[in-house]
Amino acid sequence: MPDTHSFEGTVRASSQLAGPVDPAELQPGTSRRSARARRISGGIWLLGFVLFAVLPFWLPGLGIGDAEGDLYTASLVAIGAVFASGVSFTIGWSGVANFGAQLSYGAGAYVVADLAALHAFEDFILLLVCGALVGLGMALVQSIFIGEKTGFAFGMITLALGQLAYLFVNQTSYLYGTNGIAGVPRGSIFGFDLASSVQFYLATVVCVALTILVVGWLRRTVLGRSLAAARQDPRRALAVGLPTRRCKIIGLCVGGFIAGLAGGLYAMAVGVVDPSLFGWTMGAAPVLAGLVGGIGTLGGPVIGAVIYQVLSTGLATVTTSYVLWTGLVTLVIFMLFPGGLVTVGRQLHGDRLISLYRDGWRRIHREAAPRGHE
Amino acid sequence: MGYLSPIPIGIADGMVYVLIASGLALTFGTMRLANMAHGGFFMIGAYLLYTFSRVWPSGLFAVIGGMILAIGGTTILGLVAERVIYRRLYGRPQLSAMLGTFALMLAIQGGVGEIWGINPLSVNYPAIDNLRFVSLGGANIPIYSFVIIGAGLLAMVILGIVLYKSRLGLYTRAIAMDRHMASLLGIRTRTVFVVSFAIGCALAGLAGALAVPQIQLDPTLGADYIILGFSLLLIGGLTSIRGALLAGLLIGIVEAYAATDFPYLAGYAIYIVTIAVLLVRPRGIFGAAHEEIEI
Repeated sequence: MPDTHSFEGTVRASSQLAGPVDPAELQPGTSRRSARARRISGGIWLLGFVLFAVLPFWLPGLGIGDAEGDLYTASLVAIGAVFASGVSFTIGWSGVANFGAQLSYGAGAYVVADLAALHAFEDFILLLVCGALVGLGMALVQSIFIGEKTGFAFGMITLALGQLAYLFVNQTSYLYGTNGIAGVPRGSIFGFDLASSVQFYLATVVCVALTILVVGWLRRTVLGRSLAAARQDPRRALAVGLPTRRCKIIGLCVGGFIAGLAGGLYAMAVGVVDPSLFGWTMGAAPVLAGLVGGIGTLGGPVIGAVIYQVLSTGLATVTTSYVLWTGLVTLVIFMLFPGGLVTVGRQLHGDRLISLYRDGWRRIHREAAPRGHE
Repeated sequence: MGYLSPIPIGIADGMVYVLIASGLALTFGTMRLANMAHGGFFMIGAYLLYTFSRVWPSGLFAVIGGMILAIGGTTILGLVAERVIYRRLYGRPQLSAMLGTFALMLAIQGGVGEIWGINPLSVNYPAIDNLRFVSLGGANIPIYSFVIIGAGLLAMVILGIVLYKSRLGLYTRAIAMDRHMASLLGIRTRTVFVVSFAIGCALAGLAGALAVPQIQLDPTLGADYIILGFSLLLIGGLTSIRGALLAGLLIGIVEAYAATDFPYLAGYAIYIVTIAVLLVRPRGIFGAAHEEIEI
């Protein structure tokens, strides 16, 4: 592609994922939206969280599932949301294609399982911090391979590292081989035992809230803006003195930290860890969730994770072919809403849903690369 | 001679890899789309051959007819998928398009599980003239390995002739080089896209059909093979057919040696080679500097 030659082309090439260069993304401490819009969005967030926290207690009353099962599914949704937020920050905000986030996730889960089940660690917070730090360590291992480019080739290296870890854990007896570790307790927080589903679910919801707050805050800081700048236009960022390589590494590490935390939560929620945590579908799930919801946005990964997890668990109870339906639903969302579900409002503005598919079709005809004969 | 005995098996395995990787390189070169569903088409080819082998278990026609069925089936499915899905992905950012094809891959995985069941299936080596193995240098080599090598070579020669001697191949190479310039010069890019996608799917179907007696069939097969395919693509250079040929044979032989000499390393071989090649030469062996996909 001739993009490497023209300056305008470079801008387009490097910011393909998140659309055109957005100056508002680059100014620290500001928001491009008005105070009223921010209040509304804050209200939606708060409402969403309250709903998220209350819904699983409410669903059994409506005849959907049973109390234990709903809480369990809801904890998995929350964990998926934490994981997807981390991965989405790495890929969508920092522009580092990490397709192997399962490395951090699985390592975090294994460490927490090992400490809690075999070394009788009980403190919930301490366990999670250990898991997250190990996730960060794994991200540092991946960052050895960050060079000039952080696109597809780097993504494939992370994928290969994940597969290596999968094979290694499967075959290594002191990591408990294919059996993994079972009977992971859920620990306690300030003396409260989290063994019951209700308390554990609330703890995971708090983790989701903290993750969102931290990621949202990080995006507004100078550091976060630097990461966005390094993604949007690496050359210009380098020219104004940003250490772009270090920016990429930081973006990767933040994602790894959050993925490790999510892995630790997963180990405690399910109580069993096994090598399938390092399987590549584990790393693909948060990326798909991010894309369904809107990668690089704050709310998108959460929405995507909810949809993805509810689809896969909900469909598993209804039909045996839930893989087929998950794939098809994801595909349809992809076709209809290229920017993810958070952009639905923008897309529907002054438009009807019916014409959306056709419109997208026409736009692709006009803008897309094949500019040959009709 | 004993030390060379893994080579025929390695080349036969490598031929399957070559077919997968060259199909991927072709679609990536023309459409600039990392097609995750390629593994799905590979898997469909394999399952179609399984179905054929249930009806027609042995003889030369079992091999040839099964291949024709697999190639035809995947080509038709590929054309349908191109019309319904891929066409809408061309204008997307590459990561988004790639994960769209990943969603298609999931759908194919689920569909295959629905049609053929999720339990592992297997196909015996088809007997040709009542002979299954030949002895070569002290090693028993399945005669089917030579079928794979022959069919793979034939397919690669045909692909080479199409790409380098025909007008269509000229157009394809022009589009791979500079798509906008090619369309300015009056090449019907849309048509070339369709044709090269169909050829890619046919190659995937042929690879699946050829590989099937050597592997166990289950619906996660496509996912396993697509990681392998992309690794090969990165080793060879993203759009290079020559690179696909070299990388496929290299990995096939390396894996065959690893399987006999270092069994505990067998699964790791391809990833280690991939990481090593990318560290030394990020664009792959035959890759051009500007081919790296940015997201």
